[in-house]
Amino acid sequence: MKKNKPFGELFLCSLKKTLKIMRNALILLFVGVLQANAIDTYSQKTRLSLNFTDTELTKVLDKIEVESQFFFLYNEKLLDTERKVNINVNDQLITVILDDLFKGTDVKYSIVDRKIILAPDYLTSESEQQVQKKITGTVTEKNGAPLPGVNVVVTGTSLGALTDVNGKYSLEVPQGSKSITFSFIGKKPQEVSIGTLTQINVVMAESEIGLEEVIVIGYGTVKKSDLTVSVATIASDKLEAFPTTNVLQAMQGKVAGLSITTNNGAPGSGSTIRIRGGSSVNASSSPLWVVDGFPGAPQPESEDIQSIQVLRDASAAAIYGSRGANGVILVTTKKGTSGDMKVQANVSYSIGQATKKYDLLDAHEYAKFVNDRNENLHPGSNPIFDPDTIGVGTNWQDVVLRKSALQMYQVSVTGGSDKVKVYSSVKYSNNKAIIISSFNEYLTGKLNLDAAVSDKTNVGMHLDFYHYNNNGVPSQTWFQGSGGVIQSALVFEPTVGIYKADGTYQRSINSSQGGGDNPYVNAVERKNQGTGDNLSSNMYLDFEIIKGLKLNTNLAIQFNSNRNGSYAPSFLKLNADGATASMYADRNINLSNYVYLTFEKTFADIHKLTVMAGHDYQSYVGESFSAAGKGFTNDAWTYWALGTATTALTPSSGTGSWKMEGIYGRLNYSLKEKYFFTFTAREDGSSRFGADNKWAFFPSAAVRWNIKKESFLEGIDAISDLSLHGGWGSNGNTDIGSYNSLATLNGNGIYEYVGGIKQAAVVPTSVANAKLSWETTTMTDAGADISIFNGKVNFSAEYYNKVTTGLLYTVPLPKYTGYDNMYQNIGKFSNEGVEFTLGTILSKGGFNWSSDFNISFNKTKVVTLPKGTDLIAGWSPFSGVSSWILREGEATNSFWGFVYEGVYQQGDDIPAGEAVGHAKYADINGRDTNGMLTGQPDGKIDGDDKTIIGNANPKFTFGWTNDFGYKGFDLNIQLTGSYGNKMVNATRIELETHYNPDNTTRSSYADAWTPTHTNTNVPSLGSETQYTYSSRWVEDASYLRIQNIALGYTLPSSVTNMLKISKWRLYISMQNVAILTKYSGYDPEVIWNPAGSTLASNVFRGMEYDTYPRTRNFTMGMNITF
Amino acid sequence: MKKLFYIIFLALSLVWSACNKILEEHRLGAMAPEDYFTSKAAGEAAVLGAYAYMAGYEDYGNDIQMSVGARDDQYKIAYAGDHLNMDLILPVTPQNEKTRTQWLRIYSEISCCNNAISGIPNIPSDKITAADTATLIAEAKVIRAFNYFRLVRMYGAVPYIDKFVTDPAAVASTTKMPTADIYTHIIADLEASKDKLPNKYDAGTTPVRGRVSKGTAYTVLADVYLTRQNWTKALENAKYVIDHKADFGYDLMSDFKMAFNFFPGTTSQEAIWVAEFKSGDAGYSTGRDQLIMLTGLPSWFGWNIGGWATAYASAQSLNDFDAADYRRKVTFWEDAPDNNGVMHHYDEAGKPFPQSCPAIRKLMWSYIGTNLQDACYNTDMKWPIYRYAEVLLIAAEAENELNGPVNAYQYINQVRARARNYDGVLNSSLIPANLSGLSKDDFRTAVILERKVELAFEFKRWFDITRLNLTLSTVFGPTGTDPLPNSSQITQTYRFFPIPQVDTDLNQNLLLPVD
Repeated sequence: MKKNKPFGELFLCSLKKTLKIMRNALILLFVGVLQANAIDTYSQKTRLSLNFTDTELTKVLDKIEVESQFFFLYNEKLLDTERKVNINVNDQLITVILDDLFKGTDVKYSIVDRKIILAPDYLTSESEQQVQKKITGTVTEKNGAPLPGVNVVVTGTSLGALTDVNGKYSLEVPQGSKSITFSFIGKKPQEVSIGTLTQINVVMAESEIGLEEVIVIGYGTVKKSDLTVSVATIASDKLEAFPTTNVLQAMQGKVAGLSITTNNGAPGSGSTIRIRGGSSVNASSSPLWVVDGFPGAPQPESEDIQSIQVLRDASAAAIYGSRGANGVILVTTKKGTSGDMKVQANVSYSIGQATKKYDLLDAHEYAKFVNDRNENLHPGSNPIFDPDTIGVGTNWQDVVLRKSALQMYQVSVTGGSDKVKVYSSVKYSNNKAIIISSFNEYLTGKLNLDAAVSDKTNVGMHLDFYHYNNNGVPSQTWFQGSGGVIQSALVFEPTVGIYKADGTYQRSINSSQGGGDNPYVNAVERKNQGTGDNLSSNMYLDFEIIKGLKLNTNLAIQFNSNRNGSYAPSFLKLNADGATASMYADRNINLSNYVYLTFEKTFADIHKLTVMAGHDYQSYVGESFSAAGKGFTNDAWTYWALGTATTALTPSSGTGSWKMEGIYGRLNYSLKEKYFFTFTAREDGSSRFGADNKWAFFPSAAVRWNIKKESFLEGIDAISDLSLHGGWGSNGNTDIGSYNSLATLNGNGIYEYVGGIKQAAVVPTSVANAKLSWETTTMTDAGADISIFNGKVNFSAEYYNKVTTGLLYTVPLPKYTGYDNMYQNIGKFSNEGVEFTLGTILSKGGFNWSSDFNISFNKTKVVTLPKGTDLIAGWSPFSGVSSWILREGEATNSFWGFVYEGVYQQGDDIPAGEAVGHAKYADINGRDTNGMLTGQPDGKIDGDDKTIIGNANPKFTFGWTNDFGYKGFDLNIQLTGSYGNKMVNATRIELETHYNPDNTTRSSYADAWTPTHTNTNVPSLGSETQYTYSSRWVEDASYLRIQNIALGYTLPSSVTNMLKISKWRLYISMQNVAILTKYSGYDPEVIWNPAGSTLASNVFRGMEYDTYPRTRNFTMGMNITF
Repeated sequence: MKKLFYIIFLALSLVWSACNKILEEHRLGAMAPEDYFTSKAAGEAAVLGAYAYMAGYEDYGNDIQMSVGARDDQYKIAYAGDHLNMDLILPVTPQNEKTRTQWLRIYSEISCCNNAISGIPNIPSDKITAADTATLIAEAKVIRAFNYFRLVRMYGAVPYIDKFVTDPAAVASTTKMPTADIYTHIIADLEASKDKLPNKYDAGTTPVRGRVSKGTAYTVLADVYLTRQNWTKALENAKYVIDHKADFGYDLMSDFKMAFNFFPGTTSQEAIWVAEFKSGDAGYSTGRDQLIMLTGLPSWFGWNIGGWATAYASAQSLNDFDAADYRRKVTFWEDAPDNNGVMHHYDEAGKPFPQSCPAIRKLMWSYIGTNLQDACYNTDMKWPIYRYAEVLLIAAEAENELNGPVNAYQYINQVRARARNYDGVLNSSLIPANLSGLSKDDFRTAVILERKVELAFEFKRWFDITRLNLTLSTVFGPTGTDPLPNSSQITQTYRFFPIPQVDTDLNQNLLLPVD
């Protein structure tokens, strides 16, 4: 019998075993993980020519950095950079050059992608260093890779050591030493206090200024120092502060000028994304997404993203021509790295609950309210309820809302050989959302494969899939028509319960829901289930034709299909004449291809030229069909037995397609690395436009002056970077859907019954416009970047003025033409703004704090409209209530309604038909005998008295991200905010108008006008006979949200090493921690857009109506790397 | 070998863009007017588009009640909402939503007709006979004429568009056509078409009254001539219908209420032209008719007919009906139960009736046999645009104007005799008694009143008020048939709805006065 091991050891042993099994299991999930070696794709295809005699090593290294995208990491003290070297190579690989440069020295190099680490031989060997051991530890990069050659010094002394090839160091420290400083070129220096520690592990972060950083731009990459345009980058580590089901959640508040608004709290809810304000009326204002070169590819998972580049200015986006007007978001996913296989797993579990509930009447109060209201309307009639017999009843908000549970599992495996590298991942998330019966389940997978098939050729493939399953619960919609669960939970009478005594469902008795089903029934008994699959594949080939001339080509294809089934059983009130079932399915194929050539050359050492030219083609074909039936004998079949319907409802089908083609070019020229110029041009053609206007041209230009390189700033060490840039460009917007330039007869779903027999009918629905063309957005911008104190403080400022002309606008036609409107290019919008970004890094005594703050001011204006005519839309949850206006000279998103002046009081001049205690609206306009507006009061309150009563545009928005680190602990705090935006609370219109005997808020019942309670702004109960859109409902929707607080702890390597784990981090976090706002609804960040109307998301924003509540989430999770 | 590989890859990359014309749009499932007309069925569907619009929410489904209906001296509208406020705002403003939607819808029906008229001749001759071409075009022309007849009576002088609009710029600054000229076009369309149409359309056992037939064309023509006070032609056309009623299958129903019931299994031979609705077919756009919903009493008072009571009858409109006239019971609800089943009279305060006025019952007869509670906004109603009783009354009025009452009694008394058939059974009631011994003027008064009673709430009364130039202030003045609070503001301009501002803003020529 074996001796018993101590418990701790046993625990560690079994944990080790478990983790090992876990790891093996994870590995089995993947295929094709290959042997490790040390040469990378970029280094394999990049060839350089150098000719130096008797030159300082540092100059040669600089030259390599200039000529290529390589950058060097080394310890200045260990590398003799002033050593004179001779080198004369022509068109050679970097390995050859480095071998040559360091021949005969003890310097060894290692290349990881574009990064070259230089360190003395003795550090790169495995041999144990014979140094006294007091404090030991490992220094790694963020991704866990060890860093050799890092300077580890007892702060304030010359006592120091260097890390070895495994990133390990060991250092003897005198008594009384306070801290150790770690430093390395290209990384942020760190100071860690010693205390009683004997082991200090450090993760070195990239130096913020990252001058050598490579930025992905459209059709190519450029070093950050060569950039002429405004491109904001979000690195992968900024996306991982908390687990997200959607990368947009992680991007919120991270970039100045990028606004991301979640439409509501529903799982899988969409977001509205705007870069520097919306610029369209009827065409989409959403930016173009390009993932690994593929426009229109689905957004990858946060964990799979290497970096996101946001092309904000016209010059940056101009290379995307007709689709760049709303900015471009470029996403680069993680690539495999050569070297040991690495397995990374992220697991998290979140519990959430609604942040807020409306304070509504309970049953007892509701009974009194209904009686009071009835007494006002019909004085002397019998009370409807006896409130004394009624208790608190049912709180319907509590019935339909529950605690949500979100679980996420993500695993990635990377590895590779010198020729082939792999990154692959899978992620599963399951969100049981806060409205009962709503859920969303996602499974995604990714495989990135890159192979160097010859010295000059690289090929690769990115393969992505996702699959989802959900059950939706309608929100932001009216209950009786669409089963809106939130609306019914708010207005439904609390006096009834879910079930009657006989076990059947209780229905409404008194409220406007008139005999309708209760909210629970709507949430649970209606099925609205969706599922879908997406597969995208993206293949590329890069080939160096001759020295300096490269060909890149890419072929991408995406298949997408979705299916939705819905079922409403016949015991629902709305289905009394038969259960209804319907199924809808669509599928589409998106095909994209580009080929471009890039030529790079440096002349006379000071003129650097890069020329790129290419061709794009993209096509899209979509199809859909639906079928429905009524009258089913078995509810259990739901929508899976349409054939058994007693009445087959009209099926429908449709198809649509578009194609586009583009030719483009870009010229980058830099002089002495001080003056940078970029010119781009693109000629685009699209099938969506009129026969006479298929093609258009989009030019741009940008310039940047790197002032730091000027002689007068040399030696001023406090300033590490200073530059100015400016640009101009024009971009297009084609996003109006297909076929809008053509005349159409429509026969889909149009029939005439003749003698009760259904017959096909067609009606003319649109008229042709052969001149229909692009929207053109022209932007001028300028900016400055400054970096001081060795990159510890970075500040940038940007100004832009964006003018959109030829707006794709549904111009109203005289109705006598038989048409309502047609698309024309007419009208002009402008967006003007400034953006500031401030990044700071503070590091002291082992404590690190990095902060990124950005703030954006944007002012949008309607400059001209067709014939100067206002566009007023009666688009709101309540029919006939006009609510938005577009008017020349005014902002977009302006609310159109009456000015509320409280209630008529005794002694007021009360117009006929009104009475004391009734709502009072301002009389501001009237008409003369010719029907013309006079601008003078006319004693009548009618449509002429409507005016602009606010708008939804914020004066500014901001985001602030803070990362703190101290001894293995990390803390992330993110805030976002918006100031000056107004919101119409349409939920309150319904709850507080008291137009129906619906449930209402406690405050509005308590405050309603009565002869004895006159000092109030709430009209007497029942006195309002319609919903009136007025300033009474316009609220300040400014907010400051603590988006995330996450506290993590990385286990010391002493523990993890024992478990053969390279990194193990545990964390707890809270999302949507708190919100500071005056807004009275569930949440001020919401877009009411049930119909998905483009108009609504562009210029008619700022309404909240029975939105799906947002949750406050508490999350526990861990990241583990093997 | 490698080179070959690159070439193939490159070639593959470029192949999609190598073909010409890639940017042309090819639509499937959506139809372009220029290549749509390929068969008789396609031509027929183009004509049927106009009917589909008529049986829609913005026309006979709802808005006609809110515009032409609400304007007369019988209908009242309960809520002073933005767009429903016909009674209280004088004159109706150019922004009024319901006159705007009616304007749009009637013109889109005309657009359907113009599309059919210009497209049907393009159908290849091996796909349609010359006779069928002529019949379909005649059908479209009658619908077009009827719609201009509605427009000219609602709005006065209006733009006359008789070509399918393919370039809106071409008609962007068109002017209004004088009313007399519009009538000339209306009459020309009807005269050219009336004899090209079939006597009947057959569909099973139910007579088809949803399409325009020969009888319809003659009826519309009689109504147009009556409006123009061309008594000879009005009588001639009305008499043609009466004389050929056997050919057309027309006759009075023996029970007045059954004239409005068109459910399967029942037959209303009285209908000449109906707007056909169909419930429950999602593809057909549910909720298309709300007429009954608008007039029905609110369900929360325990009434078994769920409605909104938005439209109701003026208390004065009851006075035109003799208390013993069976048509009064068919036309109005004067009593209704509360939620305890206790009956209440309409003038009891606080009871189900809106504004202490009677409710309109007439529209509900088309509705017998369905579940009123749940589906009264989405019915199988077939609302009569014209029925045979009106033809008899046209004949009576025209005959009296031409030759005095002697030969006119035969027409009006048929209508009154039928009204005595209480519940379809000849009743001992002598009311309404046959007319006799009237002077020409008294007969005129009697026939107009007969129209008011017989055709109440059928969207005819407002046109009677305007065509006969019944003094508006007498109708709406303090002692009139429908006293309005601010009747002193009523002028001749009140005869017409204003042209909606959405159109006058776009084409200011529409503001130019035209005869």
